[in-house]
Amino acid sequence: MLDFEKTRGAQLLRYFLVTGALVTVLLIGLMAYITYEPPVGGDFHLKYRGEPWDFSADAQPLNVLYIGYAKCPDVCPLTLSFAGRAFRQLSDKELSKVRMLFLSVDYENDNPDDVADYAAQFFPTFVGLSGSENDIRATVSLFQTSFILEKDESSSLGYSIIHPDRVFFLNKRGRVVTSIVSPRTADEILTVIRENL
Amino acid sequence: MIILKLLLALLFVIPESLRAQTSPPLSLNEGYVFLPLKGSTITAGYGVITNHTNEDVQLQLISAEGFKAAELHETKTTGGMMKMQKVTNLLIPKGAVLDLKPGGSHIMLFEPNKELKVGDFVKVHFKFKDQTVVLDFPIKSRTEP
Repeated sequence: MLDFEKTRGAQLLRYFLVTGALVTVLLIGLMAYITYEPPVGGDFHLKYRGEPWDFSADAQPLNVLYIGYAKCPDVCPLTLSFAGRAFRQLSDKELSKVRMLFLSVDYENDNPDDVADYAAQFFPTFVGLSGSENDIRATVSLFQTSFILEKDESSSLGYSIIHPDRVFFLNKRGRVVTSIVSPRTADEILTVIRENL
Repeated sequence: MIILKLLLALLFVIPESLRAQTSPPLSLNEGYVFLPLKGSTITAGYGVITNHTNEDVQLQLISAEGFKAAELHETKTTGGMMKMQKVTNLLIPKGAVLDLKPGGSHIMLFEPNKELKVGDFVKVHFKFKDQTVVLDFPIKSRTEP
């Protein structure tokens, strides 16, 4: 009778252990399924001064991306000037591991050389990118964002572009590691760069 | 004696009345226009404009010397997306200020038609009611440290 009780107890213990392990594995799987977010970003292909340009060809450990347009007089140059100030505070060693990319989505009006010249004024190594409408739309959607060209006949420019006001930080594979919405100081950008170098 | 009294009265009254006539209805503090960047023919101006009148003012922008056109614009950022649009006028309540600042309301300046450099001033012509006011915005660089 005693042996039977021992055996029965051992069976129950084994049963609970196995069931517990299965429930734990199921819960972990369920949590992973619920919280899983597919990686944002990746390799992309644009133009630099009219020549083909691939992100992966010269990807740095950290790549900073801002999407706007050169004829934007307000938020784009504001953010790029903060980025420029942040880069000026980096050491040569830090600068060797990070680069800034500015993508103009104004494929109709921004000349590729103008975009490149425009970006480089904020910091000499800033890369001003342009491209075809298809390439630009493919790149922008890769980062799960968008832009809208709006005609505005009342304005001297004749149009306005709604675009993201977000600085993306990409790893060597172009995947977004973090981002800042509407940075309003250089220190915000500098801090994130140093946290991710 | 009467003549002396009149002279004394003039000494106090005329300067007062002159001050009333020359006192500007609007004033600008911390104003600036960014020097246009290479690769872009558009730039922006900012500053704090104070309404010294006893009435609310609907400020309109007429022109900016040295630029083909000038407009008032508003930038709004929602959900990480920014949208900028032209506005015909901006309200400055009596005795209050209008803060033209990056990422908000600002002056948009199109196509410089003369050579501009840091330290120059851009005369911006505003209109409210039937008055015209000219405010001087100094030019500064966006990219210098």
